Amino acid sequence: MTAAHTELTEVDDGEVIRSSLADPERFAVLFDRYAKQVHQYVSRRLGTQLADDITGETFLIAFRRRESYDPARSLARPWLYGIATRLVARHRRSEERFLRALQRTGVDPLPEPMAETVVRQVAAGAQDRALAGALARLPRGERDVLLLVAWADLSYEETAQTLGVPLGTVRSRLHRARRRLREALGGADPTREES
Amino acid sequence: MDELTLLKGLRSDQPALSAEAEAAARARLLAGTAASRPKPHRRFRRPVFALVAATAAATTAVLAVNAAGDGPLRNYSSPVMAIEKEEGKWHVEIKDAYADPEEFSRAFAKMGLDIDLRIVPVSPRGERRVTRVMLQEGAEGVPEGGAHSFSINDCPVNRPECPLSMTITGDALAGGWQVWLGREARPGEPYADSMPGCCREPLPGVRLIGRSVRDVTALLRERELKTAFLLGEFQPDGSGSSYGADPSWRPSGGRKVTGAWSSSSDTVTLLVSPRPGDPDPVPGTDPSGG
Repeated sequence: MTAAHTELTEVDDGEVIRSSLADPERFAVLFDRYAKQVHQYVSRRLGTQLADDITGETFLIAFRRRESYDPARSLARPWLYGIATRLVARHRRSEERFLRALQRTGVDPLPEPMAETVVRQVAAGAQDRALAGALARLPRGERDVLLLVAWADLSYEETAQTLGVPLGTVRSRLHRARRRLREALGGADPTREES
Repeated sequence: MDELTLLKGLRSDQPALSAEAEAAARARLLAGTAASRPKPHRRFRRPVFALVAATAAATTAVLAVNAAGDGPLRNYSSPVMAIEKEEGKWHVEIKDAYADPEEFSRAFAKMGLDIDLRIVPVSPRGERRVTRVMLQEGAEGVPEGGAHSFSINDCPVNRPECPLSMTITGDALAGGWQVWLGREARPGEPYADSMPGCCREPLPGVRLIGRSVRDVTALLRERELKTAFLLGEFQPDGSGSSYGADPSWRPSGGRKVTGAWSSSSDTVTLLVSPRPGDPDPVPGTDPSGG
């Protein structure tokens, strides 16, 4: 690996954002790093169609607000997920409707997943319905924390940054949300496979 | 396996960002970055709008129509619906999704609009979407120029309820339109957007297509779902045809299911390829024929 290549790949997000103040098109580096991740997270919450729009809007909003970004923060992921999560909140009712539909009918109104093995997924079907119903009933703050951790793979600290809440709030919301999910799964053994 | 691990699996195979959508979003960002410069790079702009338009939400149907004048009323309200005209847009709120479509038509007519609106029961993925926009039978063709769109609005943030509402933009005075909006189907109510096909599985994570009728009917019975049958053939590109036989007819258990789709909340329709000796079609049972 050349020194120049190393320099390019190792520039952190804060530096990219800082340099984009003078060279706006440099901001596209962030898009290339995170667009797919943000899209995947939003897509699981609202479906691909809305995720396409929200992903574009997230980076446009981020670009317009880049002057307020603290360049000492080397990772922009929490900042971007924060913007995306606020955009998702505008569609809260749609999200809950999709989840309730999945619980009610067993058919996910979002594009269906690709099939894997039948036995494993037959067992997952009933659990998915229970999980979807529980997610739909969660308070928004708890759902955001839970899905940022579970679907965006953010750490607790990153989730706190994303939502602008204390770390303790993340921990308590996550604890409550997980308890509600466990209750929704009832007495069913989550590892049970249907024969 | 704990609940968090199970949750990680839910919707884990959602389709990734497509190349087209990524290009559109990136172009949109680049347009923003270019616009932020003192001298914008204008050459970025035209392709941007083209790309964004290509990924416009499917809840919006855009048609080309000609331009014309204002409607006779600016506001209309009844127990069935409310319509408000504002700066070239019509905001339509459906108050009674189960009302007689004639009442919708009369309301639109008072605003000078010729729209045959149907609120149809649909599958969950079709709820609160524009599922059909077409010229009414006998309407003249669409002239060139202008643009006309029907789009579903998101739920209002400042109201506890979420009425079905639509915005019509452009000139809606030209032509006569038939517009279908999807509503939640009642239990067992047939979906108006149920489309036969060969290759999409109706139940998440459960493979039905390619298995025997015997296996599939057993799987559906376990889930307390009813089974209906159609005879026909469809290609992966969606082309093909099908027909229904007498509802009491059942293919033999060893025949292969070649297509499956949810036709209501409690029924999955299975497609099997016709064989000699199968019953004749019952007229009017081709789903693709409406």
